[in-house]
Amino acid sequence: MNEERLLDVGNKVVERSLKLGADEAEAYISWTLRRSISMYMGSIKAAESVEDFGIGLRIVKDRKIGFVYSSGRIDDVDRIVMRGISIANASKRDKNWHGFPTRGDIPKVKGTFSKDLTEVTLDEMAELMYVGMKIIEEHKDVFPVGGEISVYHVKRAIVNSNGVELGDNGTYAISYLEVVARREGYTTPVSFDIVHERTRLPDIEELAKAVCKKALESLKPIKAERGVMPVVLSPLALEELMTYTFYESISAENIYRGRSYYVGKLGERICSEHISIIDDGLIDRGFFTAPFDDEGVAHKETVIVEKGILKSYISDSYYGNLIGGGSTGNALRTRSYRALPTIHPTNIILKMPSADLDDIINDIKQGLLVEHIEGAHSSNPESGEFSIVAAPAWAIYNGKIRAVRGAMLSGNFYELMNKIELMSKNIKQVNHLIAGYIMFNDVHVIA
Amino acid sequence: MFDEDLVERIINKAMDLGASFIEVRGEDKDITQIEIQDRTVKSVISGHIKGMSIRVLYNGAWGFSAINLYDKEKIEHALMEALKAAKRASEKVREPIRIVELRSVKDVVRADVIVDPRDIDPSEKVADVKRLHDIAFDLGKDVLKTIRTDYMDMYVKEYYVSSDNRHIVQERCITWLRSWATGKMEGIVAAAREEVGSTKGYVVFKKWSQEEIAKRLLNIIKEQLRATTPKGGRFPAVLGPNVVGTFVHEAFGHLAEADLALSGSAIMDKIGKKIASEKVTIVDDPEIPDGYGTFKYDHEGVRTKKAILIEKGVIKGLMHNRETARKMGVEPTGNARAENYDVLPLIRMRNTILLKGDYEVDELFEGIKFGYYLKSFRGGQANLDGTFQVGIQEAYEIVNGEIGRPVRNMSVSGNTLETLSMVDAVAKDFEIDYGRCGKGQLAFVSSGGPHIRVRSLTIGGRL
Repeated sequence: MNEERLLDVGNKVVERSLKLGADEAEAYISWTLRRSISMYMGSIKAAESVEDFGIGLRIVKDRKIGFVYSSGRIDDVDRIVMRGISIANASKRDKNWHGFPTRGDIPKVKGTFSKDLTEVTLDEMAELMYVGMKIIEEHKDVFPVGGEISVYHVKRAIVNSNGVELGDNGTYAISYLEVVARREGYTTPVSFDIVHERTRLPDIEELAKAVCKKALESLKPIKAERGVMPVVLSPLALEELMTYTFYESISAENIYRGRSYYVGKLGERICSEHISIIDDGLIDRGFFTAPFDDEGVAHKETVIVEKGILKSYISDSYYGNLIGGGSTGNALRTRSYRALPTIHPTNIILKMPSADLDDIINDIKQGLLVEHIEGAHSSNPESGEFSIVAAPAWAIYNGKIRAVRGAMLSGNFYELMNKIELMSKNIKQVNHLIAGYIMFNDVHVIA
Repeated sequence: MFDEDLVERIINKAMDLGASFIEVRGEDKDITQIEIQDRTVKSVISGHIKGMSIRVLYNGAWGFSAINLYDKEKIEHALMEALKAAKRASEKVREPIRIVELRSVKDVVRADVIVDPRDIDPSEKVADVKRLHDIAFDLGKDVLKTIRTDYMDMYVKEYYVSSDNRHIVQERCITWLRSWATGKMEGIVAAAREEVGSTKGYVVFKKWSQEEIAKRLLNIIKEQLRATTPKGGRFPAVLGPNVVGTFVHEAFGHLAEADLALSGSAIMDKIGKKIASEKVTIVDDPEIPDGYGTFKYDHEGVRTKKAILIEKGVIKGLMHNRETARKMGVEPTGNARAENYDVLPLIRMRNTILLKGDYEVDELFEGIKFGYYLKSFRGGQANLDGTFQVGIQEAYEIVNGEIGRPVRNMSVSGNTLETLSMVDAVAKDFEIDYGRCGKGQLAFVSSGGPHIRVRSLTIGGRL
């Protein structure tokens, strides 16, 4: 299934939609090949090869919008179109509808596709997992729980009745490992780490060593102490927390609906003047880098926070038009053709003063280092209030760390934004977030 | 869609090529989704998913291949892909996977629906959901700020054929509705969630009228707006059925999924031992009337049966698939479920419940000088080491045996087994809930139980 063929299908569907009575139409067609090797309980468990092709069609009639999707071969274009029209009829007139995006200049991006990665064999992926398992095995008292190495090849095409006709081709590799350490009848929380890559397989050795180290450091925990103290969050923990708080509050949709903490706060200080936050869908090899978003709008760099001042929200074309300023190229279909585009960050880059992680920890008299959190999804995205379990986590006493159990953090993320102090120098991308370990001051720790 | 002869040939070919087991799953699914935000119909979606997958066990490793652009050649190709993948994986297998094989069966199971959602015009469904919002705004004009409802119905026809000669066609139907509402007053923001569902088709509004759902949401919001924040620390607590359901699912249930238990969950070495109070019996029951987890065959073609997890405080067993059952020398319980045809089935819960006891609900509150009544939950999660955390959206203080002031922003955490050992009273009421569980894949599950009392529970909140 090549890109031209995807565009052909898209053109045909849009053409038939208009013929059969739609005022506007947009076809999103994707082909995905996922190959993966999974490990479970120390043994390679399965090798998978999954091909998925389908179309998502948005139909507009009398300002009513319907969405239909269908997987597999499109035998009967007219049937899908007619279904779309009937779904649009079931919807309500949307007076705010202003049309699909029009054709714009599309930038070039680098590091989003690797032919080599599409040619990696399951055999090579199994070999890599085997290397990871061997390293885990070499660590006494550490036991593998699970892991996966997945490679995706995704082709997509977007065609709409306003002249957008775009296709592209991307590769992704996501790998993770999970281990626990067990000693004297005590089992640690799962030590988990994940690597997001675009053009290469993960450095499995680094990944395996990192999860083993954290698992072993989680042994012999003491009870967490309660108090207000500096807390250092891993990029993994921060991404999780931001997904349910910050990312929601900068979405143009939530701004428009008055459901965001940041409504009316453009131009105001929301964190320390040393901090800038950028959404950049164009950086080389970014996990969410692409020339255009899932509505066919060009990706760009959007400065959300500049030196502590809230500068911009992120938007798709619909809400971008409603709050003014247009789309920032942040429409994403989270389940490929089966989903409508919704507002999501691309790559979120945090910029602030940095130091070596060891030095940050060394300077803390009493604090907490948190690798992973649970329960972030129960946060209140609008108020920013959260209450989460921190595990694995380590108490910091005079620069030394000691595993703790039963630590919970609670507070308000938007208030905590003012308490960000420092970031570590070892920066990585975890899903959307590109950051190091971040130190927050004055966090409530409940034991 | 499912060409039995072709599938039969594929299975024979796989066995000829040395596979020890093969299963072919097909799926044809219609989905309708509606999202309404305040007074705006945000999306109306109609989806159709069809495709098939092949899972082959070769030399102790699984190979899996799924396709949806199929013709005869493609299916043969998919088989070879799955087989090739399994052969490769098998070279690196430490502990060969073996599975329980079953007796042959041929069965067709129709969905037991009262109203087929495919027969209802989408515009009628939109109007029904919209009515819920109209009522909520009407009844809650003083506090309600926003309300969002997601509605979904799904009608799926599943095909299963395996090399142990199990030929199953099964239909299932799920309807689901979840509303989130927020309210605001004097700078305080409150949120409430309600989630309802059925397996009987388009009957959700017959089971819960729009007015009933709206009133529940508004009540939670109003209580939170006048609520106090919890004291942190350990207190006696009475848990309502909804919180009990979440607790048995999140905190205990996941530990008793055999895959997680075998990988070292906190209960693996405790099977046969008493870990909970005698008052506690927990089962995962595939036969609860109108439970989301009520179905005859799982996605490995296994006839489902009740999994008794804890009986009178003693851990009796786990939830199994064909593989973990073989490993532990027991019968599979039929807990293997896959979200779609294109993913491998995992051990998932069905209807996980704590069985009722003999106390009156009122009796549970008696004698508590100060504690908390946790009525409904917001969300929860648990870790393999047996620690859990559940966020509570509706909680009250208990003062001298009486329900007192409402409490907001509460979460509870602790050690699951320790908590189960501190259950000292179980009431005789019973309710189940409708929810979705994420374990990489989404599964529709029910959970529930009666009111219970826990002698001491860690309550979280601001210091």
